[in-house]
Amino acid sequence: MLQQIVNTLIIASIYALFALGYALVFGVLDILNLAHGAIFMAGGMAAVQAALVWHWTLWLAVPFGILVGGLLGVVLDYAAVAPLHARGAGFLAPLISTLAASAIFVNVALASFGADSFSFPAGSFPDTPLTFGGAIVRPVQILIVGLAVLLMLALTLMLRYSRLGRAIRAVAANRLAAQLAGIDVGRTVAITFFLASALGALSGILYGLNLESAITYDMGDTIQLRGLAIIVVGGMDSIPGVLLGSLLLAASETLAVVGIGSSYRDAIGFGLLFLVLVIRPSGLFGRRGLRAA
Amino acid sequence: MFEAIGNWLATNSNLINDTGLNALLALSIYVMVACGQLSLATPAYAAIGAYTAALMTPMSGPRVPFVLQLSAGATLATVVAALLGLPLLRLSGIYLNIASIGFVAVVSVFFLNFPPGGEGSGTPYIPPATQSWQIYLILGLACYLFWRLEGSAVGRSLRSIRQDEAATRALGIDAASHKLGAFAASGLIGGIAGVLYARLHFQITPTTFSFGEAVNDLTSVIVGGSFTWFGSLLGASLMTGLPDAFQFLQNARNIVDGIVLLLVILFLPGGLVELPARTLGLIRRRRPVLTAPAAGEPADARDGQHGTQAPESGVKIGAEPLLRIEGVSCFFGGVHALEGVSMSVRAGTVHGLIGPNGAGKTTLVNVLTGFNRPTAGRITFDGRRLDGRRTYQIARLGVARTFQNIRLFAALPAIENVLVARHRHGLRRSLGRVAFLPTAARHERREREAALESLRLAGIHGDAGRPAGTLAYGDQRRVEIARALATQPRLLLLDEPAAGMNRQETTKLGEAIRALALPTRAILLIEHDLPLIMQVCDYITVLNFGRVIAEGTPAEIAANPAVIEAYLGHEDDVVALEQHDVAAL
Repeated sequence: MLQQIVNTLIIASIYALFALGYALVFGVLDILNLAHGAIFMAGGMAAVQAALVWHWTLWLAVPFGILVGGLLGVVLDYAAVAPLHARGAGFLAPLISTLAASAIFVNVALASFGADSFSFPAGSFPDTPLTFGGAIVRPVQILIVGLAVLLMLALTLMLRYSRLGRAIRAVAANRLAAQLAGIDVGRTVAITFFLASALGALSGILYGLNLESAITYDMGDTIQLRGLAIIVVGGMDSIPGVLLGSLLLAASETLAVVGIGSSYRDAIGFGLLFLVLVIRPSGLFGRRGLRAA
Repeated sequence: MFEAIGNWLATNSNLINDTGLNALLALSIYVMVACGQLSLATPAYAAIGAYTAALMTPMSGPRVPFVLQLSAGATLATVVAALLGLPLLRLSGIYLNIASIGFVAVVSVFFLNFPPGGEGSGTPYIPPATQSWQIYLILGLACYLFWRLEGSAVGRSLRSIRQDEAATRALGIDAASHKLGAFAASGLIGGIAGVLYARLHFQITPTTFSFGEAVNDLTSVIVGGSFTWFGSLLGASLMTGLPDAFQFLQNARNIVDGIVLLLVILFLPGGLVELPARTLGLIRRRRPVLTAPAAGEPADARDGQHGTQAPESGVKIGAEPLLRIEGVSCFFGGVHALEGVSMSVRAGTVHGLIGPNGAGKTTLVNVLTGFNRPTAGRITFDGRRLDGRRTYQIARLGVARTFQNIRLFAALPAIENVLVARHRHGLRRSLGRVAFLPTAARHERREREAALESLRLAGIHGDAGRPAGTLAYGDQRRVEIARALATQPRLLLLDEPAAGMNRQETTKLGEAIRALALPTRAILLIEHDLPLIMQVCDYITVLNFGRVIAEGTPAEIAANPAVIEAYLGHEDDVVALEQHDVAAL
């Protein structure tokens, strides 16, 4: 039982880091970034290749993966999102353009690294398991939960108190007014994409550190849809919403595996998403918005 | 030569079959995109069709005939799609999209565990039955229906829902039913494609019908062009054929797919079907051109025209009020936008509704037209209750409105904006068009002429085929009024029609509004432009902070201290207002 709770927390942490990126972009631009799953993959793939091919230590490989993810996010903004926004396109066009970008990223990865699955080299992180009252926890899992909590707090504080955070919230609240107030909207949006994508990349790396052979060219597919479920449940763009949505999804998946077998696990998440949308279109906790961060 | 074609067909039969199936799947998505509902549930419908066929084709024992399988799969998928549509109707935009993705995932997991014990490895061997000609017969039939319906009332209504759903409902069109119909059609086409797929391939696996398939189909729709059914056909052919043509690229061909999609959405929002028109200017739509009315055309010609449009009413001039508002309140959370508003509007009059910003004028129009529900009170129009009715029902009773911020279907031609408003018997007429009935064609011609005439009377000159959003500002306002009039209203609500017009235009507008007040019709005019109000109104109601603070004739209102206080707040400015009035009267 305790083990299940610990597992739930670890899964929820990875989900939350991933979904934060979704929520940030949706909060600022009101669009779904369907390339976020590909960036999750790109981060994990870049870090694992650096560790395997160039024999980098994790201290270098992990920041490298995060940087690759973040920069891909900026490229994504400039190539696939900003031009559409400038044209005044609705939500449909960016949805499709990010989907196209995702297909490009994923297939470039497939062409470069094949359909193999990769793991970080054994021993690159201390892996002596610790036990807490019966539950077995590996050090990397403590890192995952710790990072998730830390980054969520940091992001909240940044949005609330820093100059950049105020700029991001201003753009989220009213693009035009932000511009009139002297905020460089294009740059703020690009930075938002960088932050969101760096978070996505980090969660991809942590996912790969947590599980053997987890890094594949298509690892973003399943988490992409889970991320959708999380932000829908949490109200699309609020950080506490992401936290609660991640916990709820991870817990219901764990329960589903224990209760009715792993083959129905995916249906639980989407059943939840579907129900929430039909019963409460603004999410279980309402749409609070980045403004309220 | 025929032999060469025959050989090519024989060696490429897989490609040909796949192209046909992909075109059907793309059309299934296109139906939804065409009315602005980005549902990606098509793979789920296809899975339902495919598994229905698989279940009906056991390895041994009697098999259900292929035609029955097709009907069963199609029916089941249609029913499921309609049942899915019912709860999803309230969702809009991105939320509908996410919900449909969730639905695909749930259905996929369901079939992954189906039949219980099958454990996701797919169905056993299914004897193939689908022939190429069957695929293309069905595709041809589908294309015929799309071709005929796209130019019909139903097609136009769906296009205007895509542009602005609320404005469509305000024209008396039951948007919910149209959207539900689109869901059913999407399910029907997807289900048929699923049955054909199952009986074409030897085995089906649930992973075939996943989110990825929806992405492929959507890609076809967008690359080909999402503003006409032909785009889906073109896109599906290209996206099925391209990977084949780019085989030498091996893994990179999927990258090419992605790049093509990105380039199209960035630079050709209308898809590849627009390419020839854009580059060569060869394809030009036949556009009706409006000539200006002959100079000195008598003003009563207008009256005559609109007179034939206004339907009979049991209400006599000046007798019972046409519209009676009794104690209507409307609260948004703690904000009391309207509080116990009571007023009556008589047929044959222009009734002004004025008040400072935030007084609740637009909220009242929204409550009258069903956009907002009143918190309390009753609204009676020609003896019937309006409160509690839906927007499209209210519009059908004869209440039309314009919007403070113009809400035309910007991408549609001006004439279509007006035609949409004339669809009373859309479905029957549309079916007539499908059957090539001469009466339907005659009716359509008459409708077009009438629409052109009302545009001409509204003072729109030149190209009636130009997208309404590209018209000059004043023309857009006039098209919006013409569109509202095309519903043949007995109560016309004009929400700041003079906004952004200069004095000369405003005066002309005032004359037009006067002419519109037929004996059987009332006009409720909301304006900030006091001279206009004084020029055209028979009676004026003044709102402030959601309450009626005064009513009376223009002269009475101009002299009312409460009004002056509310408007100007200063005794000093009274003189200014009076001068204003004198000038106007």
